[in-house]
Amino acid sequence: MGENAQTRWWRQDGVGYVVIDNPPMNVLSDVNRRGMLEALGEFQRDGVRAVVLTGAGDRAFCGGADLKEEERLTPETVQQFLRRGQEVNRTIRELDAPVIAAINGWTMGGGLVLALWCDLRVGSTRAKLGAVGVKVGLMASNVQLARLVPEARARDALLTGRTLEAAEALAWGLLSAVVPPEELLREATAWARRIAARPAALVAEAKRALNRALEPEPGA
Amino acid sequence: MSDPVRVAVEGRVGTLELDHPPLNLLTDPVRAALRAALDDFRARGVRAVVLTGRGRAFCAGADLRDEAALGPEAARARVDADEALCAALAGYPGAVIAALNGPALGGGLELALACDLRVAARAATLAGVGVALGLVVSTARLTRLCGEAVAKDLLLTGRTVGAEEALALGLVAAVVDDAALPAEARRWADTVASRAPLSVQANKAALVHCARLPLAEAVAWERGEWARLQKTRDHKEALEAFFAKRAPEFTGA
Amino acid sequence: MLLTGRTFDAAEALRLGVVTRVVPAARLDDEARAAAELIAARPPLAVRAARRAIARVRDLAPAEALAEEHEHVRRLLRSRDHQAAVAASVARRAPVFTGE
Repeated sequence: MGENAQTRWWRQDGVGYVVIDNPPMNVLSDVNRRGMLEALGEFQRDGVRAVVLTGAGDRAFCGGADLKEEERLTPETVQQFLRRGQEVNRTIRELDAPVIAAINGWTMGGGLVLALWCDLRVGSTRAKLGAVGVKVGLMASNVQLARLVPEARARDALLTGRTLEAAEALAWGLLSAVVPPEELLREATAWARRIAARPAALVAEAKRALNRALEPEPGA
Repeated sequence: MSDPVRVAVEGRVGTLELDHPPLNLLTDPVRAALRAALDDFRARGVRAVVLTGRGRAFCAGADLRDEAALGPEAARARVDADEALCAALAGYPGAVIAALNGPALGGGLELALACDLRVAARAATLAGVGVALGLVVSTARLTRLCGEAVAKDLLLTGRTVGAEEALALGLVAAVVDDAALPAEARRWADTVASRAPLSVQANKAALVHCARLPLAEAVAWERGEWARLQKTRDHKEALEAFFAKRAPEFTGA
Repeated sequence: MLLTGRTFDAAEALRLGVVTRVVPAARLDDEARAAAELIAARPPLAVRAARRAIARVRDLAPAEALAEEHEHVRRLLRSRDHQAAVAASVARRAPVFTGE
């Protein structure tokens, strides 16, 4: 259990919970990134079986990078900013426990990237996903989106930057389930418990095997 | 003989309308007109292109009477010419939207698949008819766009799918009533044309470049592109517009 | 799916692209047979080449996959079945394929 100014985390019945709490849009600050790394490190050490990642409130899962923080980046700090972001993504991927994103609202830009690096996504009917790079003159979530959905849909989302509502994200397979907002945490917990009930070593091996299977075959 | 392709530019959106009745078959004049118009669009900085067919078909593919008359050598040259046209569509530095108004068959389906997005009228039908002619068409593009299961179903059987099934299979992004198709295609084109051009181009390039890279290399590429774009004028404009609560005006720089 | 081990029904399988068509249970045998017959009626060399080309796409860069497809096409253009298909199409009759 722990917290910093914009992140809270705890564990209950073998499931770890991380909440991005940076109202109103839960934009991703460096404080969040450090909090997530600390939480995930703790969960890995404690042998947590499954993790639920969500945003505080019912407006946003994560609105993406903090634009004020990003505007201040210099050529020197931009690389560190990118490295820290990738460190969070890699930690999610390499964690033994599967990470379930509970998408409670707006999920844009860097927030979408974060959700796509998770192993599973369940959403509330208020979930709204957007690959908004083209709207702000950047590129993000291209690599993960292209690996999670067929390219026709990746092109649609990436080139238009349009908002995918919960129902469409479900139809695309980006969300595994959609439930009313008040049931989201219960639903995500049910998914986490289902995973936590299986042998931990087997789940961890399945996750590693899936990570490997998504890599191109060397020398093909 | 009248021009086989009607070309128009309105604002930042260009339209290419195949006009080779009754089936808009692909012939050398059609290919040449499309290539020339795309070059012209590129030179004029057209940010989004709509490709559609006039009359009852989108494009029913190659004209087989040519091949019957000219023999296999000509057919081979035609395959190369088709691919050059598809490469010009796929490599266009902006989004190309296929507005499927009717049948898109064989080489016509391949044209649609070379575009970034497809929207369809209810009258649209799609079929990979190459197999019926003893050929292999669309295996590379359809498999990437919709996955192996869909590609095998459509390309081994050569069966025809309607607009609604194409939507369910992820082949088209939207289906509308026939009369609403031009406006729908225009809406998608306007959306992409309003986005930051360098971002659109970077996303298109990344989908090709990163397709077979190991994850770590693909992520490194994406990070490099992010850092490059973060320094552009259009990104600064986006930030200013965001804080000023106004719509950004992108210039492609 | 693999992390949870959960089951999923036909509608979800269709949505996720695991199956490409869902039909009423009573018609399943007929529909499967019809699809098989459609494939069996196609020129065998083309069906074989298409299967091989599709299976290779995931291992190849996009440009390489296109190049392989075009190699198949150049070879198949010389096949007897392709010539028969073109002649039959122009003459508006049904082609007869021999697998050559």
